[in-house]
Amino acid sequence: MKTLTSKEKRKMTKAEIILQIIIFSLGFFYAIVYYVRLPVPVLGTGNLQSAADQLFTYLTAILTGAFAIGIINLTRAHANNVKNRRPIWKYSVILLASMYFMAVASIIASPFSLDPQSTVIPKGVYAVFFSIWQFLYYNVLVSINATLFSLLAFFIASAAYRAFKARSLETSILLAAGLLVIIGQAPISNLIWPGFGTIRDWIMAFPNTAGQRGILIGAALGILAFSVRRLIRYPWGR
Amino acid sequence: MRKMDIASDPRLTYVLLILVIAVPILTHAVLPVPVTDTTRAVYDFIENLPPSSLVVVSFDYSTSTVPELQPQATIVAQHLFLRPLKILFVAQWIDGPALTDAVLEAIDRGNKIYGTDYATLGYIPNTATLIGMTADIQSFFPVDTLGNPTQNLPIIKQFPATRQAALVITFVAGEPGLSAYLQYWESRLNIPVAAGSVAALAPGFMPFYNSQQIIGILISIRAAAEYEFLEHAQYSQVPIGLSGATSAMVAQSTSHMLIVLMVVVGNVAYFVRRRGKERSK
Amino acid sequence: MVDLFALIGVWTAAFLTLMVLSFLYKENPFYRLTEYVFVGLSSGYTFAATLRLFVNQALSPIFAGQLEFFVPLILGLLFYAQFTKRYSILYRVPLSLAIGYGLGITIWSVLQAYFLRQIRATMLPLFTGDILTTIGNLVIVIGTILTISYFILHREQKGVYGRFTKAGKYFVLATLGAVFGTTVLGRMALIIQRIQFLLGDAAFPWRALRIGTADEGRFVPIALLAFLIVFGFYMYRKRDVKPEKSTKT
Repeated sequence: MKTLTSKEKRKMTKAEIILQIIIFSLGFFYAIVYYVRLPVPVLGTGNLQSAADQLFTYLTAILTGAFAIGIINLTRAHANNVKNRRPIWKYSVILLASMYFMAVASIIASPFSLDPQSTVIPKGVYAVFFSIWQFLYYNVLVSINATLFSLLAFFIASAAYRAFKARSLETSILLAAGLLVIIGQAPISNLIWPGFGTIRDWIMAFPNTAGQRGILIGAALGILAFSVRRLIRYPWGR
Repeated sequence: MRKMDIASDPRLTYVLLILVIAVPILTHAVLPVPVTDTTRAVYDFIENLPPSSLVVVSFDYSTSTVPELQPQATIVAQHLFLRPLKILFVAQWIDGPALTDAVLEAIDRGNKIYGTDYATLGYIPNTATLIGMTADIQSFFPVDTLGNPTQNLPIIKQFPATRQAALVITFVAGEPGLSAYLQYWESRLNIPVAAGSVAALAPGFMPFYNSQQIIGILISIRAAAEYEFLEHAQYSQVPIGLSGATSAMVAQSTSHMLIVLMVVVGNVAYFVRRRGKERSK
Repeated sequence: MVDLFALIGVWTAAFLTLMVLSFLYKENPFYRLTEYVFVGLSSGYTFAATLRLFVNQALSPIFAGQLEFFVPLILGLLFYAQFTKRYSILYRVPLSLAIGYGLGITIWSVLQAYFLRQIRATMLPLFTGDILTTIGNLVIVIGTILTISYFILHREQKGVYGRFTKAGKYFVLATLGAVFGTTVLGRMALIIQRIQFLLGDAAFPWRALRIGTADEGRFVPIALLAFLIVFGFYMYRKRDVKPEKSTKT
């Protein structure tokens, strides 16, 4: 297999150059439009800011074009399972059936219905699908999703005994802060000693704020550096 | 016979946790909850808003965090409907509109009229829409979630852009969420922002509260219980238990104490074992 | 007054909740089924949501006479070029537009909200009349500087400088401890509400979650019993099935 030299790695194809120009022009425009206030007629609008707002409406129209990517990818993957009779093929059938059924029910009668005022779809059909959609959403989807996340509570309880050990100064600090916050959060702690709530509030307001602020500023610097780097050059190692 | 203890079989821990939660629920015990400053800040801000101010309520969570945020959304929405305010409901997450409908069905809407006093605009699909609606709502939301053209809604005629909002309150479980409102609404247009947050994200929002970029934070289900007590004290027609948060506070306390106990017992066992090993050496 | 359709819905929700919770005992087909149903339903709902947005923001302006929206429409449909072999690179065109404007607005928004405002908020008076405020301000200013120094990685953290960065590490650990503490609150809230539902507690927010009312909730324990019977029977049948021995040596 041919290995690329560092010079060859840095060469961009014509298509990549064009794409990079698109990224840079749009990115630079939106970066400066916040700071530059010019009454320059652009795109038939009064000034730069109005042009930026108008461009936003076109951009949102472009981005909504990807509406079917998810459903296409899932269909391809699970239809493949069914076609090749993989061990989980029966689950794939259930997934595809529930996906398409929910899609139809939601298109007809959900907050994202294409005809919410029943101008085309008969009101009777709408009412039936609305009941089905409500059942699938609130009784099935909400129940499963909320319960899946609630499993984490059990794992935290198990880890509390098995894993959270004060082996060193660092873990001791972490555990102490954590335990004080856990006790302070429990409403009953106020009956035991009101100081627990005060300690919790102090930890959240001061050491936690200082640490989080440091992390936030560091992350902001990282995001800025990455954004500028991405705007002006193509990323290495493609 | 295989030895069964908490160390070797975590299922015993699971049973213990279920018991310490189920027993307080079955006894229907209620506990008074002291109100934290972060919750009171949100309550007081809403209480002191001038009449006919616009409040934007954003549902930025999914069905997985419904137990933490739906109680907050319910009790805050009830407060907004008791005040002489105009309310727009939006969402940055796809589940937002359905959860908005559930909240609106649970509360007492009083004599507020849809379209005049409140409206549900629906899902904000991307940042461009979030920024654009501060200049012109109708271009980015030509219809509301019920299919009504927004240009015909009296509330949109009165407030054609969200830059006129007196408050945006976001119930947030992740991204997109609070950061979007801070970056594009608060920093640019000085629109006050309040956050109703899941517990795991709340520490990360404290710097914003400290720097006054957000006026207050509601932290998980406990803040919903605190808010419910505050609201019931001022508006006696709001029942304790509307959000379902208050009834969970005793179970919350017992489960927290169980975690603390498990950490302490685990560490004691660890240190005893370690000392035994050192002695045997 | 018990509504039959609502009662069936409540029983279905309870059964599904227990199917998910059965994972705590052992991984089993009941749990796996709920995973696939969940993925299917949420994908279907997401498709409907994004389709509605496409109609509202890309198609409706064209029908309203704004023909310039044909250009964004075609550019948006280029996303599907990724499924072709020959023209797959075209899908990068709308992606580049999204990346470009995303980077552009990120630069000024992150600078304002995360950087300048946070630095301004850290400029606090170190000595005030009130001792508690003084201590708090000192903790915030010193803690923030030390935490930032901990993340400066291009220089070796040793000697006097190393002691500063170590102190920064302790602030990060205190932060993580606070996050752990609040995470426990959140996770417990999730399971508490599920157990409230399974016990048919009247204080459960039935209407706020559109799962029937407290009247139907009283019958949830019947679903609990039914699931225990079904699951118990399944585990009893499976107890005789021995896992296949590996033939590898």
